[in-house]
This record gives sequence, structure tokens and C-alpha cells, in this order.
Amino acid sequence: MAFEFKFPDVGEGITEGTIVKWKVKQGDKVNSDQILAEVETDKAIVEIPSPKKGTILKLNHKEGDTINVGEVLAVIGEKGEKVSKKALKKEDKKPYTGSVVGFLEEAPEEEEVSKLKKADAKAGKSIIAAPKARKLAKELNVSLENISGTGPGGRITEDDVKKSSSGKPAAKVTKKYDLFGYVDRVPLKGIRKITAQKMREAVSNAALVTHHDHVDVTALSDLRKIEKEKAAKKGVHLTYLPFILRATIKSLKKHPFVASSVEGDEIIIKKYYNIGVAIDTPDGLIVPVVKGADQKKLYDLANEINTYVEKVKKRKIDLMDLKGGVFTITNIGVIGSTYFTPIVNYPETCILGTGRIEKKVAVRDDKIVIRKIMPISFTYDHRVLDGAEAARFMNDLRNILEKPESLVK
Amino acid sequence: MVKKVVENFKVEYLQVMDENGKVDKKLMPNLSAKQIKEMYELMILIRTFDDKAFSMQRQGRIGTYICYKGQEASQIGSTYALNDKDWMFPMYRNTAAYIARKHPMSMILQYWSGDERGLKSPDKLNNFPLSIGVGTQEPYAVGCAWASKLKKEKNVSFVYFGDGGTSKGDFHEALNFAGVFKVPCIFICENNQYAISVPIKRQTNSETIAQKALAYGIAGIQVDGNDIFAVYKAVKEAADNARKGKGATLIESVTYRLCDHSTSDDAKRYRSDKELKQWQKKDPVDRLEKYMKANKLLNDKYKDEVAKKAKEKVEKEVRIFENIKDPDPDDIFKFTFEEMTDELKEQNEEIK
Repeated sequence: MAFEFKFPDVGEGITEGTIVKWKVKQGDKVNSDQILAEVETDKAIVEIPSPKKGTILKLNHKEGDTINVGEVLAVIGEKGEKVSKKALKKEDKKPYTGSVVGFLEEAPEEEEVSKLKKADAKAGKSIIAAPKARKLAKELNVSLENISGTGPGGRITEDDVKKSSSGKPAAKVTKKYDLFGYVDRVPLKGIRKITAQKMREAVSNAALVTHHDHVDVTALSDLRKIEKEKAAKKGVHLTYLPFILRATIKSLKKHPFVASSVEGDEIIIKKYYNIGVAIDTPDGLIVPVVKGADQKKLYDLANEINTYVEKVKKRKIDLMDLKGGVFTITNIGVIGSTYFTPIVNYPETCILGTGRIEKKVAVRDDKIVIRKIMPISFTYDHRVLDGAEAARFMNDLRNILEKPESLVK
Repeated sequence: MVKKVVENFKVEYLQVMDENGKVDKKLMPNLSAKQIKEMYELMILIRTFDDKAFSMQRQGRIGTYICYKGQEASQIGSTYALNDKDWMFPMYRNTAAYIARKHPMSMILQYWSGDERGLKSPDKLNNFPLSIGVGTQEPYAVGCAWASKLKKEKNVSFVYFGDGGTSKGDFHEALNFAGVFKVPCIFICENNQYAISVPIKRQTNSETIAQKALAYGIAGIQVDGNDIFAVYKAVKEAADNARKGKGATLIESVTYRLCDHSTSDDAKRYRSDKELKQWQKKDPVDRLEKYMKANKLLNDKYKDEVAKKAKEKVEKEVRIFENIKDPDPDDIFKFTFEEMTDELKEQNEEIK
């Protein structure tokens, strides 16, 4: 049977060449490795030697023609042997065998090839596509088995994949593992993304320091117990937070730099007391701002905070309710933990974190007693505040919380 | 105050046989007629292989191939001067040295078709796999040579690299280490004038590559790399010195590749025709033939016989190669770890 010499990839990944010159003509006898043609690729003009000894039965292209990798360049066989019509076809979509072992095995008839192809396709085997095209197919949710490739020797190109994917949803598939094991990938979006940006902004702009202290809230606890019952009668749910908020404002008024921000070469000291309250939600942390908190009564504060919690949970909070804060309180204690290092709600410069209230052993008048203790953590921007002032702010806050009667008024 | 010359260096150049095949009898190494014929037959074999492999790439029967035409004397002269027990660290252009060191040609074709199994050194051959990364193999050779020294074995290690490789850090580290530890290592720089398209003038401002040895306190010599006797002599002396515990040698083998850098290259774009023609006149195979003819070692009949034998040998290896079964794609995943990880299993499934 005549041998069909298909134009191989003579460079590294070329797809076509131009026939510059035929060195033989139809009917010529050729030796193995005798030069048949000069072909110009995008890399060089190369001489193509004959892989077989025999007679040139057919030269498939004229000089100046472009030939794709995988197309039949010449048919070589015995003199007088017939050339199959299939071999004369310019476009040859047989599976690409490329520059690999076994290329010289005699090619089966076209019918056999298509049979093979079908059978192989069922077995999921004879698909010829570069890893990149395969990846794209996976991403676009396209089955390679249904695509007939237009690349060299029927290779499925990225374009083929794109064309056959039109109209289909593009499902982005990502690797479920990294170098060390399985992973889940969660997009950084929504609140998470904003939080990430805010935190990065705070950490890269401010010089953050955290002080820790503990407050004896035994008296506050007793007071709250009484007030809680009173409030309940009026339909108000009273937590510790409104007390802490009021105590904070009292201390803030004594230490104006705590409620401030930095703009260029200026420290802006806020004369209004809009206090942010961090609320944990399944989607992330949301910080509504209690406006004019110093003007509001204890129950009003409690109501407002509770309303915010409801709104935040339903994600119905107004954007304006999240803006204009000068200071933030974050109460991790309701969940757990004692001391931590909260990060300021930039451009605010300070934040107060409260931990879990617990009964602790304490010394009062040289006697060991059991007291209710609340850990507090206060983070400040060292650009505007020094440690001494921070400590003084915390001392005042502690003193107010430990003598809480004034907080009710 | 003192100002004086503390060290003086000279760099030697060695040529035994000129372009017309005339040898300097005083310099001619001690080689029997049989040995010279063996060298010649090897040169013809590897040139035949080179032509065949190049042709096969153009026919789509193998992948990218790195040809070495013009560097036969450099590679055969050096391997011939060494023992089978010596350790070879080749680079990608050292297919000729590989064949001379008995690596089956069918396996070399296998490797250049993308089948890594072709580089698995058959048992008892002290050949390391060729290095595709430029200038990465020198430190390995030095380490191997050091091991031979510590084990008190008489083996030397020899490593090939090109002029381009001398610009890599590993080259300098290797030479320095070889100098300090006086290891039995031979560095063979095949200076073929171009690192792909970068000419030697853009590679180094040194007059020679050989002189770089002096900075590291090892011997350095420049030889006519197209003169098989000069290469043989220099390598033999370097090996003798190494075996005597005198340390390493850097040999700059000045040669020229008469072909493209690879089957994907077109050297015409950066080399002039004139230059190529000048070097064709220095063809190492022609030169040895001239010598042999003048010394009655070669006649037309012998020449034809050698050519025919070489062709038969190569064709036989091609047939062996073309009957090698393709590797199983699963192998890519199977042999990374003793047991496949979940990730590898998943990736393996993807290709099915």
C-alpha cells in the first residue's frame, strides 16, 4: 500500500508551512532521506527528507501553497500503484500522531480510522487536545468527545472549544487541592471583602497598640439585675452594652484624642459621640453606629442597639446607619474569650473590646473575695495617643464601670 | 611600600594536526593504527546518526533534536581518552559522546521523541543523564569526583558544557570547589562559538575560556577542538594528572557546530555564510581522513565500508527504536511517589 507522508511538526509547535520548492516531481524515484521539498515555517526554511524509498505517486500541493501539519504532503509507493482518493484530499482530519514513535506505521483506511475514532471516543481515548484546551473545555463545561478538531491532524484547539461552548454557562472549575492537600476555595466578596480591605487599611496606616485591663463589674452586675427587670416591664431588653457605652462616653469626654482621626498633618478631634457597635452575623462583622449616643437615655440606647441587631440580621440596615462613627465597641465576651487585640474601625483611631464576665478571685481590703471581672482590651493609634493617655482613659473607664450608679441617670 | 608582580599566568593552546591533516610528530599522542581507525569509525558512526536523526525529525519520526555536526572530534577525542569506569556528565549536545560511551542509539532516539526512558543508563555504564538545563551539571561532576577521591578510587569525572554555560554561576562554583578540594575532575568546555545565537564575544570578555581555570587554581588549556589528536592528548593528560591526585583541569575545546542549534533553529539568521564556509574547511572528519590517507590508514574501499557499516548500524537502531512501545501515560502519575496520592489519582483520572 502506498505510503502517505504527512507534513510533520518540524519546529516546536508549528501548525503550518509554505512549500517553497519541490525537489522531486511525480513519477520520480526517491531514496529514503532524499530531500523532497523545501518548506518555510515561521521558524526557518527546512528541507523535508523522504521517510521511504519508492516512487513519488503524488505531490499534494503546489509551490507557494500552505500546508497544515498533518496534511498529506506526498504519496510514495510502487510505480503504477493507485493512490486512494482519500489521500488526495487536502484536509486530513485523522488523529494527530505528530512527531512520536510509530508515526511510520501504515495508516489504516479512512473508514477504519473513523470507526476507530468512534470506538475510541466511547472509551474516551483518542481525543487529541492540548492540556490548555482540555482545561478550557472543563471550565466551559464542554465535552471534548463532541468536538471535531480543526487543528493539525484533528487536534482540538482552544478556539474549537470556545466555539462549541457558545450559549452554555461557563462554570469556573478550580483545583480542589494545592501542593499539600485538599482545599476549599471561598470567594473573598461582600462583607468579607470589605472587612479585609478595612483591616488592611487600618493595619497599614495606623500604629496600633493594645492595652489590657480588668474591671470589677460586681456592682454593675447587681445594678443591671435590678434595671433589667425594670426594663423588661417596659418591654426593653437590657444587656451590659448600654452601660458600657455610657461609661465609654463619659471617659471619652475626658480624653478627647480617643475620639479622633488623622487627616494628613492634622488630628481631627470629634466633638460628637457616634459610637459603633460591632455585631456578629453569619456573613461577617457589621458595625452600626449609635448617633449622638451621649444624648440618649439608657433604655433608648438599649432599644436602638436591639433594633440594629434585628436589622443587621435581616440585612436591612441603612447604609447611613453604618457611617459617621468616632469610636467602636466590640463585645466578644458574649461568645467567649477574655483579652484580645481588636483592630480599629479605620479611620477611627481607637476601639474598645470587652471580654467574657466571669467570677474571679480578687483581693479587697487584704481579703480574698469572689468578684465578677470583665476583661477589657483597648486598641489605640499611637500616632494620636501615647500609652499614658491610653492608660488614663482606661482608668477612668474602669472607675466609672466600677461605680455604675451614674450610668442609669 | 612594595609594588611587585605576585603571579604570572600563561595559557597554552594545543594543536597536533593542522587543517590539512599534517601532524606534529613531537606532539602526536601514542595511538596505534587500530586505535586511530576505531576513532575514525566512531566519528563516521556518530555523523551518520546525526544526519539520520535530523532527517527523522523532519519526517516527523522524532521530536526536537539537538545536532552536533562539527563537534565530533571534540566528543570522540575526549571519550576515547577515558575509561569506561570514569563518570560522564553530558549536556544536551553530547549525543556523540553518549554513543561513544555505548549508550544504545535506539534509546537516544527514544529520548529525543519525548520518552524519558531513553535516558536510563543501561547497567554498568557510568554515564549520567544529559542535562537540558544550561550549566547545571558541573557541580554534580565535582561531587562525583570528590566521592571517587574519598573512596580512593582511580576514576575521574568528566563534564561537558558549552561556552554559554561558562556564564552560569554553577560553572564557577564547580571550578572553585574542584580547585580547593583537588578533585579528579575534567571540565570540557566545547566552545562552539555560539550559545544558540549569542556569539562568544558577547559571552565573555576573556581572551580564552581556558584562562578561567587559572583563577580557581586548576589547570587550564585551550585545544583545537576539531583536531581529534589534540583533544585526545589534552584529555589523556588531564586524566593522568587527575588519577595521580594532581586535581582538576579545564579544557577549552575550540570548535564550531556546522549545523543549527537544534531542529527548531535557523543559524543563517545569526551566522554568515562566509564564517560557516571557513569552519567547513576545518571539518574534523575530513581532517582525520586526510591524515589517514596520507598515512595509508584509509583507502576508498575502507572508507565506503565504514560508511556502509555505520548506515546499517544506525538503520538497525532506528528499527529497534520504532518498535519500542509508547510509554503508558499513567506512568507520569505512578512514579512520583511510592504510592499515588489522592491528588495524583484525581489528576490521573482526568486524562482518562
